[in-house]
Amino acid sequence: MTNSRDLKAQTESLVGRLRRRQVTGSFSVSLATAFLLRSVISTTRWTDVDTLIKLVKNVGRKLVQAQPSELAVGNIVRHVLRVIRDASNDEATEASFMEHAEDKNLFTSQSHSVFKQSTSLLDYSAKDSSARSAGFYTSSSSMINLLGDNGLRQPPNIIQEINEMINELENMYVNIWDQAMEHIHTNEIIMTLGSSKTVEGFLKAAAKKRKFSVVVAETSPRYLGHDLALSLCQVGIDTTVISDSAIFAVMSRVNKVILGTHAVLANGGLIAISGTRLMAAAAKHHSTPVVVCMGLYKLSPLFLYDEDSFNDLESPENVLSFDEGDLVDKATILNPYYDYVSPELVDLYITNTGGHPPSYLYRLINENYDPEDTVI
Amino acid sequence: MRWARDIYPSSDTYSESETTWEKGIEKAKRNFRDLAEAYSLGKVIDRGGSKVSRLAMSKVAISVYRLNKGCERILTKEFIEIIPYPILNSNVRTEIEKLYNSRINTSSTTMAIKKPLTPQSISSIVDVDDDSQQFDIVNCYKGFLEANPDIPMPIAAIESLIEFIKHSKATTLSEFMKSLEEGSESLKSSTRNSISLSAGTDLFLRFVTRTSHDVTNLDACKEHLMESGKVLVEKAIAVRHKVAELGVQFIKDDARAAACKKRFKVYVTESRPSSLGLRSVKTLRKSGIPATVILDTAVGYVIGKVDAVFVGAEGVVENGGLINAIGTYQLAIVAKAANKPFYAVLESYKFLRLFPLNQYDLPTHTPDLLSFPDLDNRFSHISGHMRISDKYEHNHKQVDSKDETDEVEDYESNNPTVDYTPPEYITLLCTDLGVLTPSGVSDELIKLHLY
Repeated sequence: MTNSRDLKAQTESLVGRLRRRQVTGSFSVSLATAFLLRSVISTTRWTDVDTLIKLVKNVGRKLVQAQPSELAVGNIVRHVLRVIRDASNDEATEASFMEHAEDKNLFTSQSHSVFKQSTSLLDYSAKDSSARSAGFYTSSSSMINLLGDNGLRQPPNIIQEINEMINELENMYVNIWDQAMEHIHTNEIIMTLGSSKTVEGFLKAAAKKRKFSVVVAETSPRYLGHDLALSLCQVGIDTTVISDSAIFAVMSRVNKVILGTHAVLANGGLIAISGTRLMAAAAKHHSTPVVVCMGLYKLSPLFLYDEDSFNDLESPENVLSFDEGDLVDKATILNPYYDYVSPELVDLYITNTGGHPPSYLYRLINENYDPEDTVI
Repeated sequence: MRWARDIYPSSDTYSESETTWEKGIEKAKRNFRDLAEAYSLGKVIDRGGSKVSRLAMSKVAISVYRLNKGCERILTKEFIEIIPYPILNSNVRTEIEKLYNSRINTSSTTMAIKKPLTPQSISSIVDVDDDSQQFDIVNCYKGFLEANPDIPMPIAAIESLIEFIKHSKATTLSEFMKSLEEGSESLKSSTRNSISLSAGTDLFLRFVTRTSHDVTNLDACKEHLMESGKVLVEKAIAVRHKVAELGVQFIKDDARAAACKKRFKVYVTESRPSSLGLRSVKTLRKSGIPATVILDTAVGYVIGKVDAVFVGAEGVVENGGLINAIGTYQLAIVAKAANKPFYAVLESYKFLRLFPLNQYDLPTHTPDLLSFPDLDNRFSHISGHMRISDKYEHNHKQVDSKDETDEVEDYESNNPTVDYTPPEYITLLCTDLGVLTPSGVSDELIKLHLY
């Protein structure tokens, strides 16, 4: 009982922090989500996979609703669900091997629950093939049986898998930064904007061995570009700060645009800090390659149905402060935080698993999430 | 375009007008050669019934002629060499044998022969002949479509194949598979545009091959196939709702008013020559959606007012391109030029294993499509055209359409009915497997066909 009460308190606390924006940024949000889900799985009692999935989904839904603009929360929940499903599928397939060995009739084993939850049209064939592969393995497992290696099956260790996932999440930056040398060459001029930890580390990793210059757009109205420029200067990178309106003018001298992002949607479009679209479009005009650095946890299986649906409007204070009373009265002032960048404007995504073109993203999504969990 | 009935000689030509049997045989052979050639070139469409029974009918006519003359020599082999279709061969053989036997046994045959055989009586002979092949899959397919016009073609095809299995009398597995393949082949060749139909038959055949690998008992296999086929069909119908559910999210809500009810208007292209656009406007209006028909030529005019373009599809090919009613390609080009999203909405049973590189790679493309008329016609056509444009310039009135139809007749049948839209013009595909990018299609296809 204390366990479940603890859990509830933990969940509520994270929901509250998300809602109050005490925890922000894709990375910290996804770590917090992963930790919470780990304790959900380890502390509650569950006997079958379906209840576990339902449980995780319930918690996940609360978190997603608390802060819909943090897409990474949903991504982590979906990934955990995928881990659970995979583990249970492995177990079920193994069970079906055993059943298959006893019952030679193909059609009974077909009704086994491996694909029970699937609903798509083509599953009938999918079931069929699983039954066939089961048949294939029967012979080999019976060979093993002969050798007396019977009944040594590992129970699925979901917790272990999730720990691995958290580990991977923590090492994510390093894996991305390691690829920097492949993409940044000596004497290149790189343009970027905002202040992304991924991009910052990426540039610094390259700067250890190569000499290049970076042009940073200041990214008004928050001027995050100033922070980035400062930090790059401190490690001795040749840095230039320009105003956002000069992006197009400077673009002709730039060799490569490297961007960070808030989230990547299923079609390859970016939800990134406002100004990114401007930079990507200018790069397209000059045929400058646009590279996006991102951890895989930022990849979301959702589609953008409406260009504004994932956007946030911030306080316009930074754009036009309240002191300038005359104007504030007369004009409507908007300060959108994000931009949507369509996939045609991006040339390469560098993730912790390597570089991928936009057309390959659907594959990454299939590998990381189950299609059934797209809507949590 | 030639129709089978033009080439296929009616039976009385043989029995009445020819006097010597050599002449008759020669004529019959000539006709056969024509027919076989025309079929193999895909020039002939058979509208009245399956081409198999048509050919069989003409074969009966020949044997009748032969018997009439009392010649005992067997010509079967010669005819078989002319026509390369295995089903027909067996028909020829059995037909000739049967008539030959009946002539020996009874005298009534002579009576029957003397009066010209009507097509009905011939087809009744053919029907008795061999059941397994005579189950007319084409008619069955058409029956399904007629009974329910909303049923998608691939599903009707699968259903007719299930019926085919029900009637199949095959005793071995390979025989069974062969007859199934032949059945689906004849189904494909029965329509001019077999693209979406073949998606259904291919899917089902693929399914059959997969299942039949593990089965030793043919009857059990058949039963299983029939059952699972039914499940497949039921699922396929449910799939439409799922696609609609996914697709609805892409429609922007103009008003953002009541819960989940979106407000939008639809422009529907007329879609000549089928004019199916008119039908969809009717159904849209019936369900309370404001819809306007526009001319196919007005797409460019209207695109500025449009938020997104939605199309259906007859088939999706391996690279994620679409095959759909003619005009889709140019609609996609216009949408791309105007930077409007172009969505395709379809069910996953329409995935095809086809990789067209251009428009002329499609199976529906035949050499005489969009062919030029011969020289004489062309000259008259051009001069006619000049005359019309002169007139138009002079008095700026509507072109007299009567003149035009006189000069250019039957251009519709000379025109393609479907075109191919390359994947780079498609924003997203909305299927029951989820929302896919065009490049995701090949993945799903591989999943379907390899595992």
